[in-house]
Amino acid sequence: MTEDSATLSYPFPVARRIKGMSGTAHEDLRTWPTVFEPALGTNVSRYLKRKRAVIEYLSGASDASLKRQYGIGMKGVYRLIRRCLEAHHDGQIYGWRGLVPYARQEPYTRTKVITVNGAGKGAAGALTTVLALEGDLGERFNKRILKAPSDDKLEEKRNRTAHWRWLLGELRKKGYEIRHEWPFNTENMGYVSVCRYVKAVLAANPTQGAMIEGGKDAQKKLKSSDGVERPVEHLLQRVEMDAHKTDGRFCVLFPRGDGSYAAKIVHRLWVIVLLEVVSRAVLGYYLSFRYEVSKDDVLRAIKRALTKWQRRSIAFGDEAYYEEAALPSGHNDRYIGMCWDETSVDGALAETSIHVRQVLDDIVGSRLLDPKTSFAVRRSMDDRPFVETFFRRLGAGGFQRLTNTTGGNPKGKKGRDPEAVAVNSRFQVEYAEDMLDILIANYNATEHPSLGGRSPLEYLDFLSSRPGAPDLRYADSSEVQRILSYRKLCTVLGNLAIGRRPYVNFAGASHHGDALQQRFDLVGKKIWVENHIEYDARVALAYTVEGESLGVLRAAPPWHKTPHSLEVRSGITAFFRRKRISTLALGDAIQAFHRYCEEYQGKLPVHPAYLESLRVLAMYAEADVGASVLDAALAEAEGGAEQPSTDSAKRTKEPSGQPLLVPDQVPNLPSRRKAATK
Amino acid sequence: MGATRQHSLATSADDHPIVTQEYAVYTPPMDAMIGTIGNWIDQRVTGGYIYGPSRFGKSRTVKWFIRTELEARFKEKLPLIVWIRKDTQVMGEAEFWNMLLLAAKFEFIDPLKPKKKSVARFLFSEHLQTLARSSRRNYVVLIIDEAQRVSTNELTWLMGVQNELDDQGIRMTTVQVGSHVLGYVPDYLARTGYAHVTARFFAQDAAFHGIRSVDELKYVLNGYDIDSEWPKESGISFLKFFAPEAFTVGRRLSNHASNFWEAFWELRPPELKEGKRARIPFELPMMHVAVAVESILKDLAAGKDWDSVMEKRYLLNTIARSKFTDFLRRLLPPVLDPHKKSS
Repeated sequence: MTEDSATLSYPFPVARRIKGMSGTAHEDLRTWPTVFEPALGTNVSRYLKRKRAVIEYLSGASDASLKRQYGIGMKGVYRLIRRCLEAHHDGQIYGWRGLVPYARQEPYTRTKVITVNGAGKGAAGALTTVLALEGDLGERFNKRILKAPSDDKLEEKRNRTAHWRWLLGELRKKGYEIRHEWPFNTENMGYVSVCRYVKAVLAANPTQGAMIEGGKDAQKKLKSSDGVERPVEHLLQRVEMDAHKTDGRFCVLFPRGDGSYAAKIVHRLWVIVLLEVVSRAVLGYYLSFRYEVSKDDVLRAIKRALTKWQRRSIAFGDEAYYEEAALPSGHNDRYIGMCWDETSVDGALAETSIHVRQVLDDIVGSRLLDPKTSFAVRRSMDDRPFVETFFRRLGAGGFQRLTNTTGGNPKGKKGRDPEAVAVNSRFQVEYAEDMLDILIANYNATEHPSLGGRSPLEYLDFLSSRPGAPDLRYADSSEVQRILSYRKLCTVLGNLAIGRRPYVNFAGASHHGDALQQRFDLVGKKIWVENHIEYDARVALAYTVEGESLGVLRAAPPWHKTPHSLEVRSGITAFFRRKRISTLALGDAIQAFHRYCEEYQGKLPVHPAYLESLRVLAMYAEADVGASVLDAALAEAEGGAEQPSTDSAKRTKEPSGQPLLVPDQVPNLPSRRKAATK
Repeated sequence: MGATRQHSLATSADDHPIVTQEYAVYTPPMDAMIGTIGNWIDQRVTGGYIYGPSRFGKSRTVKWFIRTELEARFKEKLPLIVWIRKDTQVMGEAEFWNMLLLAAKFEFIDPLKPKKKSVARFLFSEHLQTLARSSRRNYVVLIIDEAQRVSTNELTWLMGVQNELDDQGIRMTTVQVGSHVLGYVPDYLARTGYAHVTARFFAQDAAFHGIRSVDELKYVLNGYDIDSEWPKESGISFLKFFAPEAFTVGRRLSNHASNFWEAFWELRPPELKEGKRARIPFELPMMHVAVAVESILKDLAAGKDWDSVMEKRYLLNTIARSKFTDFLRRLLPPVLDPHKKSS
């Protein structure tokens, strides 16, 4: 092409008018698809001769001149140009490819009678000829090949042999076998030709072909691109978010009245993960006990990605975490609350709910990329390759290595009974939580070949501290706290006639507040009520529709005592409603519900609200930091012991070998007193 | 009636505190609680709360020891009122003041003729001042048992009286004693615009523990061995009453404290043996110690041999019968102690 370009210049505009070329984009020869000339071998000189002839012709050269220089007359060149303007399979015109010697544009069409010789030769193009001769047979055959098996009906799966047998049957009906004509006069009875034909038909109809060959998944996968059209250029540009079901069974043990345990199996645990694409770091995750992931779970995962991560204290070993293991927010304080630009999800309902979209938009400043609005394809694995790879790793490197796994597929069980394992091993949900946290934190600290041997956290450090790196964007921490807040327009109730002060019914409980109680003018009007603290639905904020504050509202009994989330409240309300017990009669609904769950002896799965409620209360326990702060201070004063225990007691051995739990320091016993009696 | 000594003993055995369970053996946790309250009084703390699981002995401390022990500490009659909050959801202000007047043993209060709200309040405030002045102190102490039932309104009313007393130069220390649920209250109050109530009534807190070591258990058992007496002024300890022969030859329950402790330890719930909860400190509820000892004493009285009663297997059975394991397990979830790190 180089020599060619040097000697020939493409005429533009062309001097001759060619039908289908003049006045179109094809007029500019520079846009024509080219040929990699060295690949033509010995044919290259003939090709170049044709090419030059075409250019000269279009420049206005005469017939004589063309014949003299290239041995092709104007008619011949015109014929070549027509070839060049033909449509190629790739959707473009043939361009210069039309000039390649011996290249076919039309498939081979047989014109002679099929005569197979003794060696089996002489049947080239026999199948297409037969199909062409037999009326609509070809059409029916193509239709049959492209017919995908039904999703919900029992059908035979059509492989190539089946197609071949069908064709033989059709030809037999038409007397080909009696007349001993092709394919009945060949050794394989045309099997190879039919296979090749089927393959070609499928290749010409890729969508249908993928459906037939690989099923729905393959067809979906075909739609997603390879990623070039959604490039990620900088750190925190895109975060992939997806939910994954852990392949395992977990049990929760409940005490029974007779001293034994009732083991309840939790069948599904969903992990929702947010993974930063460039650094591959997991920013946040959430473990959900629900049957299906809800929008609240998704919001919690987002919230976690925006708040500080802390190591859990793990029961099964102090060395479970790698030294550097952390989520970014726990690794360095400057990653707390950092935002990203795009969130790629697979279009599951929970992830695309309006609320999630709003939170991402308002608080994180991130656009939600879902199948409706972007390149992404619903449920396709290839649109979020990194998070999918992470899940594979999470499965293979963690949950599937335990015997309580159900495996990635039915074969994965290998005859084991995961439920029995879960019960026998007391592999509880809490352990699963610990394990997940460790797996994810360790993953962030593990070297990654595609990050140049750095771990995701190191790579994050590297990219974010490079000179010229864009500043990190941060979410407003008070807004982050409100991510899970639930807001509703409630009608103010109350009645002067019966002496009832104004109140509202909000999320299953009536709420009262000092400021609201004075506002009889609001009765019958709507006000905004917001559950602003995610795990404390005992309180809510109230505003008028104009945004004027009405102060804090308190939930009426039985919801006023123990902290709980709205989710727990609705779970408990539904539970007691089903059991026909009024929650109002309970005093403290949460405590009553706990008692009920812990003492109930049935074999039903554990109520999700119970687990959720435990989680809320555990969170409360953790919020009380006084003791741990003192521990840390004492440890420092004593010379910086790394991990002080918050327990005041430790195990020691008695001489009998009996492990006993005794306090570190036996407190001074009080002086003796007489027992008190009446 | 001319009853013989044998006969009088036999009849009175049914009235014995061990049988009626109307007694309280002094325990180190009780001492700690009383010490804490004493310190709060010393510091004139406006209000504090003591939380702990039920059946650990909080109420017994309040009922049997708090007044005597505090008076022993301050070496004088204390202006102290103990009120056990009723198990009703809502209490009107009138009822509240009347209850407090009853608890304060106000002479002119008749439960059948309750005073009006304003009258009762005035009387209570006056009564507190009288109490303080008559004991020549500038403070009064109000101890509220079952305080988890106290409502925000009640605390607000109380605050009014506290302010009034303050004007008169009398400080009032309110000590709330209750279950773990109390722990959720300060936060709740602070969030609902009652931060001043939190600051006033929840300024200090302390946990009420169970029996935490063999030494403490030994101390408790010694209470049954020696430091108890019934009938009054008889010099007969509980052990001596039920097993006079064994007592005479020098047998003591406290000598077997480590046996007891081991039996309790072995019967701890499986969660405490393995898994993350193994790190939760092991504490014995006083109730189960008491039930076990009472059962042993009764068996001894029924003629059982000392050695067989002190056998490990026997102890295990006795303790297991008291549902110790189940009880402890129910205390395990983080639910039950908001102040414990859920390790």
